[in-house]
Amino acid sequence: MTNDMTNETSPELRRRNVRTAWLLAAFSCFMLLSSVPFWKGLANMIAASGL
Amino acid sequence: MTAITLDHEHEHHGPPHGLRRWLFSTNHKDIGTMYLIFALIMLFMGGASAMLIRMELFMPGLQLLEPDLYNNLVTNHALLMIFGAVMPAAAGMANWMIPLMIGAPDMALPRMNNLSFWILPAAGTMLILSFVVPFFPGGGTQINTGWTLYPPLSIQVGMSMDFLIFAIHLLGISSVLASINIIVTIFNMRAPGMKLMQMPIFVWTWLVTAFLLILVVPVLAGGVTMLLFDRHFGTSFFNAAGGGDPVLFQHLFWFFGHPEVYILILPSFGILAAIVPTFSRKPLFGYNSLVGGMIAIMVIGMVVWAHHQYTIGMSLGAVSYFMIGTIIISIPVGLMVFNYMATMWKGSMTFETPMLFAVAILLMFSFGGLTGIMLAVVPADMQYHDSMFVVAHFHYVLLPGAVFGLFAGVFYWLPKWTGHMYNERLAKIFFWTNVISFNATFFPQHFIGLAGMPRRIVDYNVMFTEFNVISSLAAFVFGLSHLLLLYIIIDTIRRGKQAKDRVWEGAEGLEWELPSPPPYHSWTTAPVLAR
Repeated sequence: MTNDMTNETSPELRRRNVRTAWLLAAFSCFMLLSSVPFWKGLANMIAASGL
Repeated sequence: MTAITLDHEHEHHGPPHGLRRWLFSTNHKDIGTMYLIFALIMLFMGGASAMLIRMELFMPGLQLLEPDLYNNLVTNHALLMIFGAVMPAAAGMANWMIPLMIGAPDMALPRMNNLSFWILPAAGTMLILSFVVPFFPGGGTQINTGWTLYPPLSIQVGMSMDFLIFAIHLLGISSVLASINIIVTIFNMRAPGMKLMQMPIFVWTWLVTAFLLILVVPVLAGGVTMLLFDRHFGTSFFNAAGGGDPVLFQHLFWFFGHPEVYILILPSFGILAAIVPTFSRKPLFGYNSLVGGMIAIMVIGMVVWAHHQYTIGMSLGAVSYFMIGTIIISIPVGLMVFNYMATMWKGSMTFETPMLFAVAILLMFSFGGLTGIMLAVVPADMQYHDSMFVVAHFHYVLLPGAVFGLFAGVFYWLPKWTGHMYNERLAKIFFWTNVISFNATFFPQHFIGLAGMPRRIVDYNVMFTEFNVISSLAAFVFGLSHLLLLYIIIDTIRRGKQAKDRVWEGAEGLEWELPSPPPYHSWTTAPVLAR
């Protein structure tokens, strides 16, 4: 089944696609946030600010 | 797979008309086309900045450009070409070809596909603004850092750097979204019965590339975010005066920057894996080893980044590790090159334009790889570092390895995309002009680099004049030759002869089972693969 622009996929496949995409997005965010130097720098910054 | 049973139940209602078709498009072919058009525009903009650089270097002394503007052009050229031209062009081909090759009706997440693309023009505008802003009153200084954006200089540059940082953020978001879409499409949308180890190598190269992108782009995003904080929020991640470490940025940048080389090259190598067997009329040699080779490239490519930083004063153990790792990576890369050569061996080869590009790529990329091994050797690199030799090296790697591969792909798939054959004679003229002028531009730069001419410096010693004149003259020919490419593409679309469904005699794969051009909705019924 299609609409004018997109080939529709089954709801089950769509759910599976979205689940896999979220998994990959979470992995990507993990790469961003786990950049160790980022946290190291952040800790230094907080220590220097006296908070 | 030896034979394919097809069920041609393509639905033939056409695309929507007007702006709506492109603005709200969720069709992989339309989005692929938009990526390719965007890349072509950026190619010409990046090329224009390269022309200005070569005009300035035509003679020693200052000709046209102030030093800061010269360095801004160097920065701009690199970013436009890498993020604006090559990556979107490769993404355009992925959008067009992956669903056709794996028998999928579209990309897995079509709306996100639309978003991935439409972030790009916004990012491109920010990127161009970063170049333009300093020309206005109060616009601050030019971005004279080069594409590497090393602090402390990048902390001191004016507001144009903020535009650039946000452009990189947007480009990164676009790349990560596109990568997620590609991975999900490959994992979940393959035709029933198509196992991972039966996918075309082009699809494999994109799977590896997409994983590389989601691994390394977030790290660059983190790096430039820290840069932004250092610039505006009083942090000292990279500011030595506040206890920060400027070298930390270099590590973050090159953790992205080195795998980026493979991100640019691998899709083109995937294109070669389609072209070489077609025009050799032989099956691809060593499918399993090619897959293994590119996975090895991904893994090793992520742990050798600091060979770009030998001169920062690392310990002997560290430089030894990075040197050995870098040299080891030549094994899987060489394996891929040898596999393509073995595919050609004793084949019934013909030399249509895509194949001409393929052969030229293998020769010139191998040459670039050899100078890469020279640069990997620490004591030698101390001599070559930041010289024109490095410029020559990476242009020999990236132009044949990435750009020429994309040109080969354009000529190979243009008849499939448009339904029209391109003019072979004009394409061959483009090939020879392009390849000869490329070599005449960059080959002399090895010598002036070895003789001591530094890169990213607007002026040079008079003893380097002759080779620079040759390099500049050839660069003008090289740049202008791309107008012929543009003409060939337009000519193909408007006047090209009708192409056959299986455009090339030796071509194999699901994409060739579809009409040329493929219907707007293809593989609405999944193809049935016969073993």
